[in-house]
This record gives sequence, structure tokens and C-alpha cells, in this order.
Amino acid sequence: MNSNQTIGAETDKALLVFKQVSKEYASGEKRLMILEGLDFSLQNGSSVAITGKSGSGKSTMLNLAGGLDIPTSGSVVFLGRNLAGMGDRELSAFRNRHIGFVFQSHILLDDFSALENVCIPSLIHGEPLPVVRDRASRLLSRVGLEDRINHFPQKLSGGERQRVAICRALINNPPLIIADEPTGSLDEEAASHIENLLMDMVREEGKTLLLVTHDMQFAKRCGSVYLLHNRNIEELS
Amino acid sequence: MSGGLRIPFAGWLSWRYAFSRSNRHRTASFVIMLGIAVGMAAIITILSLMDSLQADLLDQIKSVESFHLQVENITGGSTSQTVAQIVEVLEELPFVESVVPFIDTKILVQNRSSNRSTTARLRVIPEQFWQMDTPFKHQLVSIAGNPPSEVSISLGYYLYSSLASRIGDNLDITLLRPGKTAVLAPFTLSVTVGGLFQTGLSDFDSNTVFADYSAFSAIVEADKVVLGLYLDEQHMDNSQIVIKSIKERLPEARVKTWQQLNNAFYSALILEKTIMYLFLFFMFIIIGVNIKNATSRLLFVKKREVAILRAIGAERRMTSSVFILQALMIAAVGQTVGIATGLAISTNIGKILPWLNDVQYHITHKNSPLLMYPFKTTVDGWEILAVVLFVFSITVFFAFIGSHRLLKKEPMEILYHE
Repeated sequence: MNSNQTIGAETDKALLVFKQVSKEYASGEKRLMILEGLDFSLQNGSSVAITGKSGSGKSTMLNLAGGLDIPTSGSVVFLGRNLAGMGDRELSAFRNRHIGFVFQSHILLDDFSALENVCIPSLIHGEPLPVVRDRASRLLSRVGLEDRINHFPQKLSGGERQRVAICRALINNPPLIIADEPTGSLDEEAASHIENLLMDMVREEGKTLLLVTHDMQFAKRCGSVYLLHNRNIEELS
Repeated sequence: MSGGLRIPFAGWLSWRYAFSRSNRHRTASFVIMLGIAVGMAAIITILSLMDSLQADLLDQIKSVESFHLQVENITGGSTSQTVAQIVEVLEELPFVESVVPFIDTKILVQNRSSNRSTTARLRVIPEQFWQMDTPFKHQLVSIAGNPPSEVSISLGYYLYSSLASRIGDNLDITLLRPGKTAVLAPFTLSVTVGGLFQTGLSDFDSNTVFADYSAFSAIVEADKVVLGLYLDEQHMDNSQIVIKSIKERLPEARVKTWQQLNNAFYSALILEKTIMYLFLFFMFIIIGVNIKNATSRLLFVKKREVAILRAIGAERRMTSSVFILQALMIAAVGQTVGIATGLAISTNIGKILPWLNDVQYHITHKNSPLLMYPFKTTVDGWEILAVVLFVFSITVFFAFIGSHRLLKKEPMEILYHE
């Protein structure tokens, strides 16, 4: 769908707005258009799932939403601020305070314990370690990892690592959680557990969720489901 | 404010990345550290050995061969002042420790009993010189016999060997002196070998014959008398003020410093030192390339962590500082170990080399002249400081270059390539 009307509506109350966003990558001499003239908005407190085929641009859209990438044209606006206009310091601060990332893989820092991994975003923010450590311990207890806080990622299962990643995403109390296939590399049982945990914590903490998943059952647990298709987005009824 | 440069936090991350037991790449850190430590230890040992060897050599040259200053043409053609009076005048100068009149002349020495001959330099010097407390006396070892006297001469050890002479042998000495019909005519006299000496300066020991001033000054040309001056510590290497004072008292005199008298040798030493610094510079370059490769490797293995740190809010500058600090920590530990090892080797070189000689003697049943040489070392703190600062500088430079390249990319770009 490509229209002047922004999908998601009520852009004036939106937490995140994509305005005519296009993104293309260079592949050798060729230019590869991933997103083209995409309009989208995300309301505060909502949960939105994005699905689509592999290579349809789902992860690209999440990276643009999280300020991890910049659009080729158009703008990504978060609470009225265009992310493309921010410098490195401001954009880093934005990611640290406003976004909680949960990736499919590459999720934890290997040289740090579960507790330390959860603490790091707050330490980057400059909070004192004792305060952060208490908060991180409470979060890890909530996800059932109170006995594993001093374990290093190599000693944790895939599901446990993803639970640590969810705690890390929540430690700075960001308004938006961005989850890119958080259950993609897990077995069915662990995936189900992470789904429940993520949805429960997002609901209990009152967070906005932007989720990318191939799993339609998981997607349907969100308030809205969108399909990325032909470089653009459309809402599924 | 988020993501600012917080050294304690960046330091904590760096320490973990460099040395933490949980770090899978800790071995790489230790290998790099070991490389820096070995490089530093080698540099310190080489510098201290070379500095000491050069200082010893220069000290021997100044003390034995050329004095600190030589004053020629002391009477300036007039006979109003005797040599003894001029010596007294110069001895009154505050920075002059001692003044020795001497005459150097070329001679041919023949030992008829062994049928050997060679050219040499005859140094005619007062008898009391051997009793004076001079730098020469500190370098001199009397191997056999007595100092020269009215009836005997003293030979350098290697000259004594090359003539196959013995104490008490009669030698024929031929020298040139003004003749009656010719400008110069050969003059031969027979002298007795009374003693032999060694100074450690092999050139000097292989071509010098000492003879007594009172006995020989009438035979050699008395107007060739030169005054050798030993100066105090402060002026021996920088004697301009002394030269000025001498010229005020002896306007016709020619004054030469030990640097001028040994110009070729001194230039060679300076060249040797320059080449040594060039060699060390290349060593630094090798250490620098080592640090650059190490930093690139550390960054390569950590690029996933770099992307995660950036994604969760770490600024480029802070992320870069983590890896620069990491490289600095590795360099600091490596340098500390290297300095300690280098100083330990340098200060114990007198024990280490003989021990190595003993070990190789047990294997080859031969002594090694190199390992038996009585090396001394001089550790120059400023040189070590310069090396340390240089290594830190190249560490920061290469770590910055390495991290800057990686951090130019957006976090997701790094992860895509991962």
C-alpha cells in the first residue's frame, strides 16, 4: 500500500512515525531498493507485529525505527524528533533511553555475566552500579533467572539468553521495545515461554511493542498485524 | 546524558576485554603483551649495553690517548717562559686538574734478539706522571717491570708481544731529528725494556712506547712539547671556557679538544649511535605494526560486541575509548614487564654472560671471548621514558585508526557483515 494517508493513523499522538521512508542498499554497482515511500505510525502503548517474506525489509524497518540505520529518503520521527537529524551523541542517547532491543541472535556480550549484561545500558547512561545491580537482579528474578545471574552467556541456554536480553531491553524503562524475531532461533517450548514472557512484561510495564516475526500465532497476540510486501506495508485484518 | 565518555565504565569494559578470565580472546592479549615485553626488554638491554660501551670507550680515549685538551706551540717561538713555568700558569686555572708536558714522535723499533721490528709512537713524559692521580692512572695496568726511567722504557702489551721482547731486552729505536747537512736525519739509540703496561685501548697498547722526559727531551725535538690537560668533570666534554682562559694566557698557543684530536673516531661513534637509534626505530616500527595488527585483531573479534554496545546506546567516542584503553592496558602491562626484565638483565649482565659462557663451555669446551668480555651497562632513565612514550603513542595511534575504521559503520552494518 502506498498512500498519502499514514498507516496506523492518528500521527499527532503517535510514538513513532515513518513518513515516505525509502531505503536502498548498494550491492556492487546495483542499487537494491528495500523500502519505498513507506508511511507508518505506531501509537503509544500499542503492540504491533510485522510479518513478511524473508528479504521483504522487516529487519530494515526495525533498524530504521530504532535509529540503527538511516533512511535513504523520507523521515523516521520519534516523539516529534526526526532521527536522521540527530548526531551520534544524541542518537546514542535516544537508543539508550527510548528503545529496548531484543534481537534474534547476537544478543549478549560474551565477556559479561547475565547480571552485567542487563546492567550495561544503565551503566552507559551513567547510573551508579549498586542501584543498577538491584534493578537488574529484580528483573532477572522476574524472568526466573535468579539462580543464573552470575552465569556467562556460554553457560546459558538459548531461551535463558533471550530472557536476559528482554531484561536488558527493559532496564532503562524505555517506552518502545523493538523485537526482531525474538523466538526465531529457539525450540518450540522455549519460544512459547519467551512469547509469553515478552507479551506479559510489555503489557505489565505498559510498553509499546514493535515486533517482527514469521510466526503468525505469535503475531496475532499483538494488537495489530502488518504485512511488508513489495517494499511497502499493509495492515492485515 | 547518555553514552558520554565515562572513563571508569570504559576502563571496566577494557579491562574485561583485555584480561578477564571469562574472555575467550585473553590468550591474544597475553601474546601481544609478551611481544611488547620482549621488545622493551631487548631495547633496554641493547641501549644500556651500547651506552655503556660507548661511554667506556670515550673515557679510555680521553684518559689514555689524548687527554681532555692538548696545548701546542706553547712558547710561541719565544724562550721567555720555560715549559715548567707555563705548566704552573695552566695548573692555576680552576677547572684544570693536572697538566702534563709530553712529546709524541714516530719511531722505528727493532728487537735484534728476536729480529723483529715495527713502527711505533714514542711518548716522552715526565717520571712524576706515573705517580700523579690522573684518569690515565685509573685506566693503566702495569703488567710487569717498572715505569720508564732515565735508563729504561715501557712498552704497551701488544707492542711487547709483536716484538717478542722480554723485560731487560735491548731495543734499537730510530727517530728523525734535525740533521747537520739535512733537514731531518735518522738517529738511532739503544734502550732497555724496563716494563710493560696495558690500558684497555688496544690501539694504544699496540703502538706506544713510553720514555722518560728528562732523559729523552734533549734527544727528540724539545720545541715539539705539547701540554696534556686533564679537566674537571664539568668541563671535560665542554671546554670552551677553558680554551678561552688558556688563549688569554698563551695567545700563540693552539688548543685542541679531545673531540678534535679524535675527530674520525668520534664521528664514527656518533655514526654508530645514529645507526643504533635507526635500528631501534625499526624495532619500534615492528612493535608498532605488532600493536596495529593486535588492535585490528582485537577489534575484529569484538566487532559483534561493538555493534551491540552501539545499539544499546554507547557513543562512537566511548566505544572507541574502550578499545584504545584496552590497547593501552595491554601496552602498559607489556611495557612494565619489559622494563623490569630489561633492567634485571642490564644490571645483572656481569653475572648472566659468564653463566652463559659456563654453559657453552660445558658443551663446546671452549670459552667465548664475547661472553667473557667484562660488559658494563648504563641505564639512561630518559631513554627508557622516551621509548615508553613512543610505544604508548603508537599504541594510541594504531588503536584509534583501527577502531575509527570499524566505528565509521552503522551498528547494523557491522552485524550484517558478521
